[in-house]
Amino acid sequence: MIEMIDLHKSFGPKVVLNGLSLRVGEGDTVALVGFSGAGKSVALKHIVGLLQPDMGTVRVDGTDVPSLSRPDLYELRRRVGYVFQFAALFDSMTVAENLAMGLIKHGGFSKDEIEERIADSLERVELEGYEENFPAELSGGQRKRAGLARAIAFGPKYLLYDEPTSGLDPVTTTVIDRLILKMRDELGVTSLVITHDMDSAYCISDRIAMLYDGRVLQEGTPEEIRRSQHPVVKGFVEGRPELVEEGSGGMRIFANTPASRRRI
Amino acid sequence: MTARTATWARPFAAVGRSAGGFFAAFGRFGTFFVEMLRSLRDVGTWVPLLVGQMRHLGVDSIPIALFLAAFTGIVLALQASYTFTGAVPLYFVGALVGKTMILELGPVLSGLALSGRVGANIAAELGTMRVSEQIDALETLAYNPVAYLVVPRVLAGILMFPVIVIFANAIGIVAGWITAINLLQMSTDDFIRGLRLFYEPFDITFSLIKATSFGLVVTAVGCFEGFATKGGAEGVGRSTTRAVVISSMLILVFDAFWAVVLLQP
Amino acid sequence: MKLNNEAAVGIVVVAGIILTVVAAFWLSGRPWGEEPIEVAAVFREVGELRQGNPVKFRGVEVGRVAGIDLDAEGEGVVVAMQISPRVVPPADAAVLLAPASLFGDWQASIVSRSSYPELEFTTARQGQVLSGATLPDITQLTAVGARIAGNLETLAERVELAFTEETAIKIRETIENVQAMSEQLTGFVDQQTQTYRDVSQSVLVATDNITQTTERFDRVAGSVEAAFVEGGRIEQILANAERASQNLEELSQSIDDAVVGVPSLIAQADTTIGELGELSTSASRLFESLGPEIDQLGPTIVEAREAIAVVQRAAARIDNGEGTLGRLLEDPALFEETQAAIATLRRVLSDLQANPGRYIGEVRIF
Repeated sequence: MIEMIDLHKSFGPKVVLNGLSLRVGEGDTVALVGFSGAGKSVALKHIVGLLQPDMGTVRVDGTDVPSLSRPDLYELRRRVGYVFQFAALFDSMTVAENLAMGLIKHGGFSKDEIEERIADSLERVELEGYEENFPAELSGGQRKRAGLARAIAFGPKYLLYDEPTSGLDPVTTTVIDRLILKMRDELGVTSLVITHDMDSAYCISDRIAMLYDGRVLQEGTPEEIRRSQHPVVKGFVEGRPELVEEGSGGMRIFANTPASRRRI
Repeated sequence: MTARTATWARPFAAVGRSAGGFFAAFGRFGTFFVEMLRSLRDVGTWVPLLVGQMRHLGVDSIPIALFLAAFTGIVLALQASYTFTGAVPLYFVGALVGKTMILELGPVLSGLALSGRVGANIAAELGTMRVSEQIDALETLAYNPVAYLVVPRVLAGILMFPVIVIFANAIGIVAGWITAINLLQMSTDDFIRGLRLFYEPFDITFSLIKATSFGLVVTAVGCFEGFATKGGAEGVGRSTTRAVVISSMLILVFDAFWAVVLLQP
Repeated sequence: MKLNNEAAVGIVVVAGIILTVVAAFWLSGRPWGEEPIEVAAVFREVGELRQGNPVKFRGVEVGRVAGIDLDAEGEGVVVAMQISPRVVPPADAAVLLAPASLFGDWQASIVSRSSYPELEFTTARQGQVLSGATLPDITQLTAVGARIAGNLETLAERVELAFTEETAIKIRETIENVQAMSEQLTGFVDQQTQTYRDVSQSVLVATDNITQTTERFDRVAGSVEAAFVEGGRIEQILANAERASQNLEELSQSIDDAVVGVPSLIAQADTTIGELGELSTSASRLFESLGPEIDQLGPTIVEAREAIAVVQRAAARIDNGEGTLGRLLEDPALFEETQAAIATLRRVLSDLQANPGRYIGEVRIF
């Protein structure tokens, strides 16, 4: 179980998280949606200790992540697979070597086991035969799948997806969505998916949380979100900026957007 | 910035900001350095990568260093004879080439060349890894990125720079010697006499101490700038430039530092 | 063939280490395969000597300066040297530090102390510490040189003051006079010496004749006397007287013979001696004109002046009528003295002619 409790995080004068609380139960797949630059990735990074909260905390299986020592943090990371937005494959290594990285570090695997797991993981993401290819030789969708394969290779309990479908064509998006569902069904992992693609969110998640202004604005089943009467949620879901403007009491969101889109 | 700065105060504010920025950078580098030392304990992570980096940063850098040293040696010999004409015996060409090469030009020119080759390479590579989240990916795979990326590079620099500089010194002196016997009509005996004239055993030690410190400076600055990269391809370019500029400056600063500390009577 | 990383790095590192060691060893100039021996020496100060400077023995480089340190008492500097074991130092070995060239590089030399009696060596210490001395730094020598140059300058200024044009002309004239005169004198002396030899030869012959004649006259007179003493036998007296007169006649004849060549000789001698007198007078005047400084010109000139004085004396006596040839005959000492004086004068003058610079040089220094 992943719990984010009253998370606050600022970068300089810019407040990104402002009291975010979210629970991901065992076996659940939760989609965290929100505008670009709303702080979804920042929230995700807190879970594996890549960022430290200014206030509040994150608990994974009841352990307090920010207070973990480095070895304990590594221990935690063995349970959490992280799928990066642009896959973040190591350029200098082949796909197989990328997958082996985690396996080698997590220890306890023989050479044969490592090869077996690499083959198994690639098969799961339908990338058989790409072991010896370098990331630069893969397409965008293939890279995302390779990233997913790397995250599942060492058998994590949790999977965190950072924008798994952004920048992909509709067909590939569907392929990825199906993979996410497949992972849940076959591996029984608990997943937290960041996306701004509502179709994906409806398709893959048990629950959807809308992140807005640094905190969760509304949380519910896909159906509840779809029917939400909150103007911002409704505007976001239906893609109607005028509703969002109305709900936020003025121009604030879209005046902010260009600036907040800049990566921190 | 809530309060507006008065027009007259703006230059002062700029000074204040840059002073603050300077100390902040210093602090960040210090933290980074301490983190690096701490990561040395993570032996299992960096040891397998060390040899590869020694090859990549060290062995593969030898040609450029030798090229530079050879031409420096030739120029030194010719300039020495040009300067000495008539006033000083020609065998002092050997003394000048040897001393200058070992004490100053061997380490410093190699250091500057390698700050371009090695420092820029590291900053660009790590900067790209940073902006493409590969460093975060390492973290999520339970790697200590400092132990995995920084320690092998810095150690390779510390270990290989002295080796490169020794070769550079030797090639520079040999080039000076060949120039002396072919273009200056000096005899080998004269050149060697000059070479040995003011030689002190400490010279080589001094050269190696400098080389080691330059190796540390170039690789550590490259890694620091790479890790601190922000903002895409443009950020990588900025980091690379900064790495080369800062490490070149630090090489000269260390050059003066060692001269003051070790050469003063 | 592409080397793998380990092999490439290994080769480079090993080559680097070997290069470092070999270069350090080679540059230090130590002989291969010889275990150097340690020698130490104590100095009052070591100038610009540095660690690594060469150590020489009989001019051959045999080692290096290994260390320089103040001694325990702080009264001297102990220099440790590593030298070849082939060096066999002399019994009174000491170490001399000196600049090896003008450019600040120094060297240590193992020397025999007795070869440098003028240097002040430190006392050797126990435990194989040799005595040592340090030659002044080249810069100190330069300083001394500068001082000398300064003095010379002052001197030159003074000389310039004293050495007016007039002086120069005078000296030049003097030199020319001396030269002309010395030539004249030499020719004259040569000629006169020959004349004197002839004269004296003739005089000796003449004197011999006169002596013989005198002896015969004595005998004649003796026999005349004896005849008077015996008395009585008038024929015998007459006969004796006749014999005596005959003898007298012979005597006067032989005196005539003896004397007949003399007057011309005497006349000749008188003129030559007169000339000699004039010349010596002018020589004397000349030397006086050189001024009082001439006294310092050394024994040669003094000798020359004495010789001239003797000749002058002789000439004076001859002028006074004392000095006819007869006088010369009666006084062989005077004759010899004159001859010696002439020889001396001749030597001095030929020397003066050959090396006028010597005299002039001395004159110049004041």
